[in-house]
Amino acid sequence: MTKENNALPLANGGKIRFRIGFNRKQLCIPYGVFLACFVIVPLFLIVFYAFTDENGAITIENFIRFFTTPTTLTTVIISILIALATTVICILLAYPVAYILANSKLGKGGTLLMLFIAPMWINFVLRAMAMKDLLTLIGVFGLNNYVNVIIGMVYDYMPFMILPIYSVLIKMDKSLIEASQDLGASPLKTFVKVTFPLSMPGIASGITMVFMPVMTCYVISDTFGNGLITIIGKLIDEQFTTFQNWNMGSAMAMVLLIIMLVSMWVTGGFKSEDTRGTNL
Amino acid sequence: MKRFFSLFIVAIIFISSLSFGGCSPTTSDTKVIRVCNCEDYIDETLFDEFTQETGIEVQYSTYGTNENLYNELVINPNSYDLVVPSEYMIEKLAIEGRIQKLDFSRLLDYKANVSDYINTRLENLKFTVEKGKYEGQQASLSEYMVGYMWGTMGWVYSTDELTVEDVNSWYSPFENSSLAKRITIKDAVRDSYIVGIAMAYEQELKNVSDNASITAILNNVETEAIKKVGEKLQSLKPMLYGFEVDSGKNDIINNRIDAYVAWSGDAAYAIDVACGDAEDEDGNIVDTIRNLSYYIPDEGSNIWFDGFVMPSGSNNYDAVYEFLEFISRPDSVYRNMNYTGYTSMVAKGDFNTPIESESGDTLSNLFDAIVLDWFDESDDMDPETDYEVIDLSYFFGNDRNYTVTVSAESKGRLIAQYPTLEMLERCAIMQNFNNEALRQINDMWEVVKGETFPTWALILFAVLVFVIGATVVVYRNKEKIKWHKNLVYKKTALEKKGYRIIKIEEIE
Repeated sequence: MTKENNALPLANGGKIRFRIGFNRKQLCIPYGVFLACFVIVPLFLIVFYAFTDENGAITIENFIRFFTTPTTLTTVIISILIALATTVICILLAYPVAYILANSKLGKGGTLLMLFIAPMWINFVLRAMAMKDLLTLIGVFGLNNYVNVIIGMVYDYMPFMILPIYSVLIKMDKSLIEASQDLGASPLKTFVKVTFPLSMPGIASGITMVFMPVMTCYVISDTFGNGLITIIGKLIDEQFTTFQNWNMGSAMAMVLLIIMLVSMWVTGGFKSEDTRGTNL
Repeated sequence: MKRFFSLFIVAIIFISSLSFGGCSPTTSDTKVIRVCNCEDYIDETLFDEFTQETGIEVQYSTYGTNENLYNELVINPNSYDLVVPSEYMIEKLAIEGRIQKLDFSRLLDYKANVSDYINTRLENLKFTVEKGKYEGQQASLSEYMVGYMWGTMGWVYSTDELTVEDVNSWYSPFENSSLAKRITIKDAVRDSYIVGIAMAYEQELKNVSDNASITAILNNVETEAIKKVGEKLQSLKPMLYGFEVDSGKNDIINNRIDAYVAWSGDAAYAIDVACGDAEDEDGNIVDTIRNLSYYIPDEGSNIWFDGFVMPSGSNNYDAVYEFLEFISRPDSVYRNMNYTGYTSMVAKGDFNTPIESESGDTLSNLFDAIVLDWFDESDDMDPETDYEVIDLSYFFGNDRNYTVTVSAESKGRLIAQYPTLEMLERCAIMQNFNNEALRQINDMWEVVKGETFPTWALILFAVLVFVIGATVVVYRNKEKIKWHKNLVYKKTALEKKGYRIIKIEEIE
């Protein structure tokens, strides 16, 4: 009861005119149910399948097989390398774009930003196929499958890097830059010492939004790599569909989960407390 | 705790309502039939006509792969009344007791119209049921399925660059150095396995001529055979443009490749589009892009069937049998064949409403409407071209003359839909892999698809991991490092001045 009495006072200072029959905690129930059904239960199922064999007996055979097969390990490393390359290129390309967007008048209104985000509204399989034809037309396609895949990945995940950096840059306190200039720092020094460190949270959330999805996005690797490049997402898919081995597939998914946790630990180091709202 | 408990109850209620409420069993009197088929594999306008005729509504859904469909049926055996898997999946479902036998006394029209040759092939495929109602019994595929489409697998090749001799065996395109990086094979383990085994046992296949021996060789899944297939497939990789499942037809039309392993329906589609017989979206006839043809390699290939089967959980019998009879009518068959480009297992019977051809002839059955109208060139023969008379009576029956005259150029297009008997006798049904074989094939396929790892990449990877790890550690501890540096600096400064430092203590 006390909680409800402590509700925020209204702006006009008057009484609360109507009451919704829920308190704040109760409003969380729908999401709680959603979380339980579609996140926690599936996660437990993955763990269950990963540590059992096809007859339901507990075993770590799946993990042993995973870490003793050279091809699966190679696939994991290749996925990580492709994801790293994509992330680095995305940062290099997205940062200037986000910087320009955040500092131009049009960018503030969101018009320019929309132009950069608009490709995201088109179905991404379609975009990938169109991009492939375009690259063939230019004559770049087919030179090297890895290059093709990375081009495709960068093309597809660029908006996920632009947006968080942009949203950090646009919220940044401009008086800090003015202060730096007042104190005699050159534009380069201002950027290195003020702007860039302050935009670190945006880069960090950009990395989490690009690095992990790239490792599993096998539509791109199939389309651009002509099926000659296998990434870990494809391996997992094959286990579940072609080979009907849910246990092995779950074990692979768990390994991926661990890689994800490590990558979050890495990027977590660059985040500060004001990362709110930088994630999409 | 209490709140958590109530949350738990709510979750359980929600989950149970999902699993039971969402898929409430359809009883026979609701007049609905739930059909699940591959995408783009049926002319959906037929459903409205079926509803008009019978009052039964069709709830249509599609699936991605046979394995996805299998997973759905395992989770809920009553999710559909009719599904359309391929023959190996039908065998697996039947062995595991997940589908039921059909009552063919209620499918008289289908029985009368289905091609005898194809039906015999299905009858010959026998297996022992391991679970469910028919446990321990011998059964054949034809007891479970109403045939839908069927086809073969072979090379689609560009006749501008290649001749039949270049693709008359599975391996010969790979010996042709002009085809380097101009070939694709299937990114599906079953299809590539049969290609691999036909290459690995080419000599053995050439020495036998009866279908049973060919089937036995092509279905060999012993450890040694799997190893050979893996080696063979891996040796193809330097020549490959890539592995594909559905981009092959576009790749060959757009001149990215010259030959690819194709399913016959895709082959028909690719040939039509590339040779300009197809219509684009606006109804214009497209100009010839490339001249393509189709050939089933001599040593043997795969013949596949898709059919309607009834999951064991369904009891919607009346609607199912009405639907099956409707869909197997020559009129519906003609429209589905036109729509999909694949070949139906239904061969006989007259149309209820005859079709008028472009030249004004009245076409009353499937052979006239599809084979003669599309392919026959006996009326306008060019004396300078070679013609071949192909006999399709094995498929259509013996009640009349079922021969068609085609030029050498368009023979490939005909055999994409109706291969000759001689070719079909060398095609084997691929049976379902057992679990042990599947595991070994899985390992083999992983090696084939996986990349061999160069040392430089390994070193690069180790360096990258180290650099990133070190950066993070340094970044996290930068305050401490700064403090330490400061201290060292002060210490040396003091020592220079002649002080002797006895003890350093941190003061709050």
